[in-house]
Amino acid sequence: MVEPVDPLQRLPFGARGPLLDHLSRLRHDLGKYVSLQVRWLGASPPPEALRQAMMADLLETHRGPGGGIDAPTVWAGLRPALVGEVPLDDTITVDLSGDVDFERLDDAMARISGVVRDLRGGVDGPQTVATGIEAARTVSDACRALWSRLRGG
Amino acid sequence: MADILIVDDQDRYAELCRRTMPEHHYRGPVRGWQEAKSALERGQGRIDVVLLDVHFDIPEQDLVGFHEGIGARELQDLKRRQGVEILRQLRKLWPDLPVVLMTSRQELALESLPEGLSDEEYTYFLDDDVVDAQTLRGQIDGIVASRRGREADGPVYWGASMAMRRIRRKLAILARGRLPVVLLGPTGTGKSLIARHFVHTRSGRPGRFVAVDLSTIPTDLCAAHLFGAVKGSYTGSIADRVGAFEAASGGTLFLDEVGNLSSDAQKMLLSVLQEGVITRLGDLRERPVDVKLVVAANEDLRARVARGDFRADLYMRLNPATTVILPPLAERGLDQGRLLSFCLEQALARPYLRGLIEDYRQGVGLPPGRVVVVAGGAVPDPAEGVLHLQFPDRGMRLLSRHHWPGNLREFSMVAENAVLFALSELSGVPPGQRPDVVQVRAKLVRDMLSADPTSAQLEGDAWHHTIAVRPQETLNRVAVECERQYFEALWLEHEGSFAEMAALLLGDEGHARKVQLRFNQLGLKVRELKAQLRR
Repeated sequence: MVEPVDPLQRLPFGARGPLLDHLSRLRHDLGKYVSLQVRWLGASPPPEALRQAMMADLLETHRGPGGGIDAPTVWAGLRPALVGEVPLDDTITVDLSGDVDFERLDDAMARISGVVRDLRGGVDGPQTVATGIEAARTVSDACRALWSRLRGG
Repeated sequence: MADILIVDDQDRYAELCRRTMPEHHYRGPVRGWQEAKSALERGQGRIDVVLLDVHFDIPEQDLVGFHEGIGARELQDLKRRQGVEILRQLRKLWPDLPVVLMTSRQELALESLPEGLSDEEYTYFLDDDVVDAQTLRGQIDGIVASRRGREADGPVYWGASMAMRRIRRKLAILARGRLPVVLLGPTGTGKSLIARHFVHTRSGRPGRFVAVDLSTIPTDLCAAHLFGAVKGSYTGSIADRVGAFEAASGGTLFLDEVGNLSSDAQKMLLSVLQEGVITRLGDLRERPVDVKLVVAANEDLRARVARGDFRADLYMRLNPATTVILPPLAERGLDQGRLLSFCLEQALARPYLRGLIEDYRQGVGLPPGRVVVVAGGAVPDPAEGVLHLQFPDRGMRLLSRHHWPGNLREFSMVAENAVLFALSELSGVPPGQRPDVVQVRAKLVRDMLSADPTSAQLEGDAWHHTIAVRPQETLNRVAVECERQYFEALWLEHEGSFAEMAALLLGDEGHARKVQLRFNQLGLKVRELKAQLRR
């Protein structure tokens, strides 16, 4: 049986620093804010409060001068440098495809994209809320796991 | 309710806190160090906790640590740990203010907080990178309870600075031991207060606290005063006398201005410290005494030893290695508002100010009740029986800018005088004002701060005195104050020569001792005046 390759252990020379910067931004800009308001409510909040918190987390994940930016858009700005589509830092390119945490993050963000489409289309029932919350938690955990692994290693 | 400052480049934490923990009062969010500093200065010690984010995406020039030529990577790093840089700045000015860093300790573990910033007593972390309101509420409640509990440990004059906390810890240990305690510090720093209310109460000794100010006792009476005397042992000794050591046996003896001890008395004190017994003047019998000795001085006793004015062997017996130096008021991180309340509470315990307050209540038809000091900010709503003494923001700013060369004593006098004059200026309730609010105008505070109560200036051939006369002051009190200033001015003019003063006042240099006695009775202290001479 072949052991899965850990992309974080096989980084190109000089990539660790720029990647750590990038993952730090990912953890803060996406991982922290994608589930901030839902987690703030703690256990067993009223369903309506939970729905509103989830919508705020996913639809206004980043707040800039031009207004709120949703989670898929934030991810779209960060993902290309993680899958080798654009360099991290001038010449350094990395590809985390196949990494267990990256795949978890990528899958969860795909689900969140669907939830955001539903929300924008006026679909915000309990199933959508539950999916959004679960996916957002996964994104937070995966972002932190990636950052911690690289930092620790 | 806690007063919380939020330092964050985003609005989100502030919004969430206000929505889910409405029981607290929030300031901010402020976006960086400069705004945070301004907010803390405006808060004047009323802020209980700071919630500080770590990652700040703010304009480069607003970042602490930004410099021309900074690289892109370094700039990113600076933004990512800006909260730590803000904390570093904050700690220089507010060393003991509780700060919750809005991240987990684990996340910051490798950022290696600079030394002193990770003191768990004042710097807190979230349990997790993202926290829920309930957890944060519990954390804030715990911090506030701990902070208020610490403050309840002792009066406000201790202050909140790290230095004063260390002194308290040190004194608490020294108080329980059997060795003497040496307190040094400028005039008015509360040496006597601390000896009485801190060292003695923590010593666990059942006996009395006895204080002796050695600067007020004539040199030739000092030994009898400290060690006692038998009838006839000196001129005028008409009965056996118990000395301060015996009176304080089983308790604490506080010797203020110990540097004033005559060489004979120093020798006797040394003997008491070595043997644990005293012998009254004129007696042969040794009497055991068990005294916790606390001595105080305005100047370093080592300097007196070096000059030969103080015995080196006695100095060594006083346990000089553990000398406690009390810093001036300005260096204690004091909450001026609480100090004001403390000083006025003390003043209200005395009949004079309390009487004026009661007169005012009766005059405006207020029932008896509590007096609450409002140090800046808005006046609270009326409450049954409460009279508010309001110091406006401007007045509080004047107090906080003053350097207090006379330390706690000066602060207390200014506070009390300002209230006395505010009351004396009132004749009924001013139009448009509430009867339960006495306003202490900023101008009054400024007048009190600019007045130098000890000033006596020579103008031409005449001394010009300025004294603050309180309402209903007795003639005797006014006369004594004039006399005190006159003696002080003469002493300075004649560079400490009591003989010359006697020649001037009584026409005979031989009456120097009489003059010195009166000088002491007036509460003047040679040591303090010597400091003025040196200046």
